[in-house]
Amino acid sequence: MTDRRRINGPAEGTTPPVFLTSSTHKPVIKRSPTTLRKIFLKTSLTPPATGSAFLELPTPSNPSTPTLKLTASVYGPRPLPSSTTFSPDARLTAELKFSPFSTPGHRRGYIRDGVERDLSAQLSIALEKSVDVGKYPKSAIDVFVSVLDCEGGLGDAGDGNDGGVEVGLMGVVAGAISCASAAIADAGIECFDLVAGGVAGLIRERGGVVEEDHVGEGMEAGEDISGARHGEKKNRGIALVLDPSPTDGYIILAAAAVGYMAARDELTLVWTKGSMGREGDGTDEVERLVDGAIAAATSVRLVINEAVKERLLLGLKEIGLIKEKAGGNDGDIVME
Amino acid sequence: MTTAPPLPPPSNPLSFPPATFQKLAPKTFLERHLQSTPATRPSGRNPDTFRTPSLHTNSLSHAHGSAVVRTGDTAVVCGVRGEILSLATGVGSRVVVLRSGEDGKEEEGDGIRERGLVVTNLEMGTGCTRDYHPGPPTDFAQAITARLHRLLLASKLISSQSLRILDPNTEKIKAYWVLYIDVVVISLDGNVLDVAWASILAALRSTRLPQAYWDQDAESVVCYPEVSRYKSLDIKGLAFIASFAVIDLGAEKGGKVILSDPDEFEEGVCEERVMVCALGGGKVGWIEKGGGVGQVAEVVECVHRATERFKVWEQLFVEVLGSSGR
Repeated sequence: MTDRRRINGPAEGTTPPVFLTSSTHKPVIKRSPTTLRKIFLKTSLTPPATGSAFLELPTPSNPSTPTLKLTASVYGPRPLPSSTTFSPDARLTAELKFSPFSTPGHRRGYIRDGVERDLSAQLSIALEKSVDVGKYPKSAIDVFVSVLDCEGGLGDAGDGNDGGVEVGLMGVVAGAISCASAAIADAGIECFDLVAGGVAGLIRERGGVVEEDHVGEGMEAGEDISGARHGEKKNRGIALVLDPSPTDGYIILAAAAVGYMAARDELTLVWTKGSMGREGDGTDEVERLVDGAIAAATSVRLVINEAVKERLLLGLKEIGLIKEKAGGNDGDIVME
Repeated sequence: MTTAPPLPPPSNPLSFPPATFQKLAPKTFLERHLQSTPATRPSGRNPDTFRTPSLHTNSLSHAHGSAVVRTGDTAVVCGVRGEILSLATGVGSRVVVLRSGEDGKEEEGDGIRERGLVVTNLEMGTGCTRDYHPGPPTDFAQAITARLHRLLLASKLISSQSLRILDPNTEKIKAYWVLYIDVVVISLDGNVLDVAWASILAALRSTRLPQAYWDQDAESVVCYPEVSRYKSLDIKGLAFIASFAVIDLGAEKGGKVILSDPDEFEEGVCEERVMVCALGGGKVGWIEKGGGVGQVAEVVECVHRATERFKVWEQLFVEVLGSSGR
């Protein structure tokens, strides 16, 4: 498979480096299961685009720990190409691409693969309902998301998986939804609401008996002690973890990603994987999981609000609609 | 200036807002800007002003080296990733024929070119500007890629020595590192070549490859996982590209004007281009000029500006990468 439009590597083929002992990222994050990671979100970092945003999940401790970094740019509304058929509404398309250096293990190819097409489809579904497409007849709104760095856990071959559900792709989708929604708002496209992405997972609470099939895990030895007490009480305790990261080292039984519009209290996307059933005490696990993801998305929404607001106020200031109060402290702003 | 009508004004002159004027008559728009005193470009820069660059390195976790470079509204991310090219037989049941003269005595840099040990690619289908869509690279992206690749090989910055993987017992070359250099354009506002090149150079300088050796028992290349044993590449010297666009205002209006570091709009208007690759110590490694007929003095002026620009980049590299990167 030579690509004549690009420079290809040696024809003999190359392999990623093999290490003496597997030194794949050891779990270092010690946050409580319900603590969300901080998000860095900034809009208008791609000035040629109509709207754009950059999202990053910062890691406080170890700089070599992978984090999610992605950019989204939005073009439109612009006229549909003449070859397409008439459309009374705006057509929203979303394209998600992993950069060649963004994933662990093998390099990512340049041509979009099945996973990327799937994520692109999920992303456009999640965003479409938030945009007031009826306002823009015969137009196209194009959303491009590039993943620059991700946390792994994508379910690729050779990507260290120690059982459980992979949440990497869900994290990417949730991040892409939040980032793209901020970019759409930055583009000044009329929306019904902003969409925030959130992920939640179910983990088995650590009790010495239950975890037997996953013994090779010594990293959370400290938590084992407290977990053991739980295990005694309830043999099969299921705990909810918000915003799980593949680098955390949890064994996730089931996970859900949602696209959530907080102001309208509507879901634009629900994606679950893993096995869920009814628990002993009657709580529906699915509901618990989706509620958890919604809780995560609601918190993310606050970050999007701030990022969009910041940009909007800057824009209003530029055209002189609002003035900063004379001697105004910490950005007090008055509407004229 | 902004509402300058093309004809002597009648009683009611036709006037446009600047943005409309720029779209309707881009060339006239640029010319009028440059005819003012002092000559100012639409972006507010002087003709010989470059945009201020900024640089961050090693912000990506899965790449062996990476850099983010931004000048004005042009921003690129470059990631370098090493993979192993095994010379041994039996890898993937394919026999690799060893070429003659391959006993570790080959010419510097030759192996890099012949074996394709450096793979440079530029990705513009990221929504970086409105004209590029995801999909196969456009002619423009391919041209820039080819140029970056050619420059990288011609400048001999990477020594093939640091890409060799040896058998610890016999000191024979058993495998090579192949450097996959991928430049992803995040935002494009002209002059992608300068920025992409700087990002490649910074990423290469920040690259640290695992220490690898040929394991005779396993018959394969194995790397030490310890980060402390990672080795940086041996990058020789510095080289920076400076690009220029030239516009001819006509003999009576001021002649030719050379614009340093043109942005997207200026690139679209000006047909004449000059590219200078400046090296340390005021040397010049590569000059390209095309699209118009000009005096030698024009090129000399570009070389002068390129050497000035070199110092700016050099200082930035020293600040960010430290002198140890040399």
